[in-house]
Amino acid sequence: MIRVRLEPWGAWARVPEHGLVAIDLEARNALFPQVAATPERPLPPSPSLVDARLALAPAPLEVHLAVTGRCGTGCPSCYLDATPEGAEPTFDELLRALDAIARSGAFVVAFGGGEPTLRSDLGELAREAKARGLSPVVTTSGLLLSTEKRARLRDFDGVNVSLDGVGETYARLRGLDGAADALDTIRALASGGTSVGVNVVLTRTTLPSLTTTLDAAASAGANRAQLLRFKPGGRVRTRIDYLAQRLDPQAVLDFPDLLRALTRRYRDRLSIRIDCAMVPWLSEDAELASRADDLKRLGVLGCEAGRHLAAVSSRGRLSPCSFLPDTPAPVEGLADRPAESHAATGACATCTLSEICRGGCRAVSDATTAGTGGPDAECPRVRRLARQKDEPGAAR
Amino acid sequence: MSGREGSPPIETGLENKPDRDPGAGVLVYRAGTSANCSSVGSSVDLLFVTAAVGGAIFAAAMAALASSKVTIPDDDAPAPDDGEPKAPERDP
Repeated sequence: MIRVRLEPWGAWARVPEHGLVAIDLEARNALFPQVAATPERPLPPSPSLVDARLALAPAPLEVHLAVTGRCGTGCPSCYLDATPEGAEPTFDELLRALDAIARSGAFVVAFGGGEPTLRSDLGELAREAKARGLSPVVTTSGLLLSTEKRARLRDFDGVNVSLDGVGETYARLRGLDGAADALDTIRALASGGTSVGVNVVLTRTTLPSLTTTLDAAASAGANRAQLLRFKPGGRVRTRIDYLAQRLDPQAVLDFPDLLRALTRRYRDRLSIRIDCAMVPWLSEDAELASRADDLKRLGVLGCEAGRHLAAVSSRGRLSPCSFLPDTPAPVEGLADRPAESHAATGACATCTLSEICRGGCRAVSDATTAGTGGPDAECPRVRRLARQKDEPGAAR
Repeated sequence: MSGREGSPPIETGLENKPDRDPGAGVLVYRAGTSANCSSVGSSVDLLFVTAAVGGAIFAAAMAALASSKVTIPDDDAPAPDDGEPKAPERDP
């Protein structure tokens, strides 16, 4: 059964074997004549129509739900500073959160933490999400998982295992050599038919061995690689910690070519995915900067915080994304979030990708610009224009 | 919007205009499973092969949508009461 969300401009649907698909009004009318609408008469009333009137955020497509704040791994770069004593919502509280997420019109609920597999009711929660029409996915370290815990993961539509490296790289990052264990989890899940991906945070430590990491993941049966930008927050306590690990400017400039190379290398083995914070890194690539319409049509989204994305913390509070602070609003307020605006100013004003990128990662910007709200200072285009402005004789 | 699966399943049938490209109605195609707890993930490999296969992928998605049973949740949001609906301010 495919769930469809009507919108004034057409509809969103989650199509098995494909993903999230937005169709225009003409296609919607052809496919679903029972609920046909026209631009002049976009009936029936849809949440998005009400949103447009009340300046609310668009209904989320995906909501990240922290099902626990507990984790015993103690990774130095944890963005949440999760500990074994972290807060953990009750099963009933999570059911209420799932109710609110379903009511909001979201399609995907991404379970995170903390370490979600510490919950003994994880499989049941996944089934409860499905019963509400949601597609549940989950991220785990994959460490120390018994056969029983791995079985709980099979109720999810997708599982991502954090794998920032193998061997020495993994040990250096996490303080223990758990890569073999994480790869065992991938192997066990994939052989059981679960769709498994790996999350790799790109840092100065992980980038040099990226293909070694992805080779191991592909061999173990992973079918996708989610590359993540390193972001300040949680246990990355100081700006110095962050600056020491973030990619250097040349690596950022080379990033589009890295994506091309990875696409060639892993064709038919791994789908290569980037996170929303990496979209600014495409802006100095001549080919990609000229293909804004293609990026948009393929759903390569920049900052969607507070728009198509929302997050619920382990304390049941809403935030625009997992990296931004909680708001006082409880999860029940999901359908009433204020719209997040993005004004394309400064370097963004003349960027062809501005509409998609939406100014880059707010979590990074807030940390690196002391909350002044400027564009993402690590965007290579922002860097170049700032450099040109500072050159002697440059127009001010 | 209600999360209730309130409407009975609707059998779909693609009745597009014959001269329309089958995938033309796809505004956005976000491939794959987003199993990432911290950020929105987007598949980028399609970007580098889309010129060759993009149209076929969009058409396949439309065909899958057309041949599947769908459910359209009931909408219990209050209808606007201040005149004609405005044009949508955003596209996806």
